[in-house]
Amino acid sequence: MSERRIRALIAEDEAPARESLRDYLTDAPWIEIVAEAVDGRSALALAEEHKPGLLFLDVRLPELSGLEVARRLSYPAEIVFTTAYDRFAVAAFEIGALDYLVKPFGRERLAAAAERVRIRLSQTGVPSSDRVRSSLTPGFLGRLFARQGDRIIPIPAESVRRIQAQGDYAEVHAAQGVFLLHVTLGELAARLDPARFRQVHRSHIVNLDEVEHLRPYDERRLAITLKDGTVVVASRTASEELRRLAR
Amino acid sequence: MATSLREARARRATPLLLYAGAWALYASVYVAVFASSGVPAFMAVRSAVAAVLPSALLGLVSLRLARRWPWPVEGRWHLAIRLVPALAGLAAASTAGWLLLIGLDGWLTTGAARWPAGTIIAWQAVINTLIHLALIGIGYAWHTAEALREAQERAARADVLRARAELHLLRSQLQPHFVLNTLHALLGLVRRDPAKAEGALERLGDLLRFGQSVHQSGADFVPLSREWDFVKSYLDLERVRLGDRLSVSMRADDAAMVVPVPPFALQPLVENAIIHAVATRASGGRVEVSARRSAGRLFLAVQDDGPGASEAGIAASPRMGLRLLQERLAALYAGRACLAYESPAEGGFRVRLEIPDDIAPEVA
Repeated sequence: MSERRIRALIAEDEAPARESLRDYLTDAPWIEIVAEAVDGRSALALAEEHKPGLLFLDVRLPELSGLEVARRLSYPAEIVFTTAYDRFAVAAFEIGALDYLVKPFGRERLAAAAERVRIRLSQTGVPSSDRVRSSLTPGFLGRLFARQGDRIIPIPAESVRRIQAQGDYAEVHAAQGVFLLHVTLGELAARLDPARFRQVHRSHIVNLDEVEHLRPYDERRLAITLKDGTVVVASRTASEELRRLAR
Repeated sequence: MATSLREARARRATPLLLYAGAWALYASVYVAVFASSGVPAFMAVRSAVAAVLPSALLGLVSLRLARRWPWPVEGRWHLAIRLVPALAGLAAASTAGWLLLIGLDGWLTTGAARWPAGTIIAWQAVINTLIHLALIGIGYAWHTAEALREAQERAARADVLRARAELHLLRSQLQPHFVLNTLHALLGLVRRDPAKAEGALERLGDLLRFGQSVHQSGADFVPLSREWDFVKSYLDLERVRLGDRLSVSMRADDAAMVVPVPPFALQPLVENAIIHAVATRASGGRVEVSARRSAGRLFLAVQDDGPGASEAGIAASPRMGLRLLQERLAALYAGRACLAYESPAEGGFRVRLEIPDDIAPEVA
């Protein structure tokens, strides 16, 4: 392979999982493991010392969580998270279009994740450490990220027009296009500024700045027409709130 | 026991007293009416008793008709066909009783039976009909209210049972985090150390089977020996993941092993210790599990050398393991079990579980 090798750090507190990762990564000879850490604090110290371009971080690490390590990283790097069952973390990964592997994973799934990273590294884009700061920092999202093929599209929150639930996916309608994120509407709603975004229905969030007009739909409910022409009927409770807001 | 029996008797006696009181009041109205129309006092009382007593006695039958023939959901005509003759019969019997008493009274006091006029007899028959009609109505109202109350009590009992079953389900399953992490560790071992992977997979199967059998049988209790083996298998698997970061000691009396305990009484406590005291530290930690039986009680303890936890910390924990276990124990032992935890000054966290050793003889 002619391309340059990338230096990587592994942070995993469980010995068998660490060994597996090392073992599986031999399939990707372009990845060179330069450091291994068994807890978050040493992972951060080793990363700052060796500045590897790729980090494999387990979410639940002793001392400092993998999420915290990623947030505190001082230089741009690609990150692949590993986790067994952390719904909150996984929702955040989806919102940030971050790479992650859910345990149990084997050789093949690690290879696929590594391949995604390899393609990403050959393109220009927002490094995952930057996306981590957007999606993993508590508080309302300034922007979210969506995958489109191999590319990752940053979506500033204000450019989101509406979000529609599609089962346990969220269909984000934004100025940049329509994107599917693997998070529930509720998980996304929790991360959006309520001053701008309202969940007007079980399956709909709308950007209040995008509302063209409101009109009565029936006795209790309002129909919301958005600037792009979409009409969404608000639930009774949401209609009452909207009436109060419009007053 | 004695008090509750007395209470039960008192509960049954109260409506009877009320019934008698109502009739006494009614009889005194009769006495007043007779007396005011010039009848001598003693005779007024006798006449009132004659008018009231048969209806009062037969009224007990009227009241109980509702129990014998409950209000039907369908086919009310069938009930009417039974009730109308019954009402007529009771009213007639009451009226006949009154006549009999009047006649007897006349024969005893004057030597000759006196019979009331036909209109008076008809009037008394009408009154008796109304009285029995009212009593039958009251009987149905009472019976319906009673049935409603019983249904509500049954529903409340069912709610308690359902809540208990849910609690049971909540606690008697392995944490998904543990299962998924274990599978991840084993996946890597499959090629590197197939023998170890095989053994560990068997153990994982044992754990899942224990959980499954507890669910399926709905057993509230298992002998401690089974829970103990379950914890051992669980710890074996944790050792695969955590290696020598995990140090364990398990000590138990032989006598303790046969004591029935709720399944998953011990394992969640051990898992808590591992999550909070071992997995959070790169250097690992130590967990001590002990079981002791003495003076009719079983004492279980799980202690770790981790950072410990405050009361507020436990209450805020999303795992709620301890709180759930506490609720489960309350449901199963009704205050005879005790779960206590503390963070000793020298560090670590200790949970102590104390339960009676004589629960559930049907435990297999």
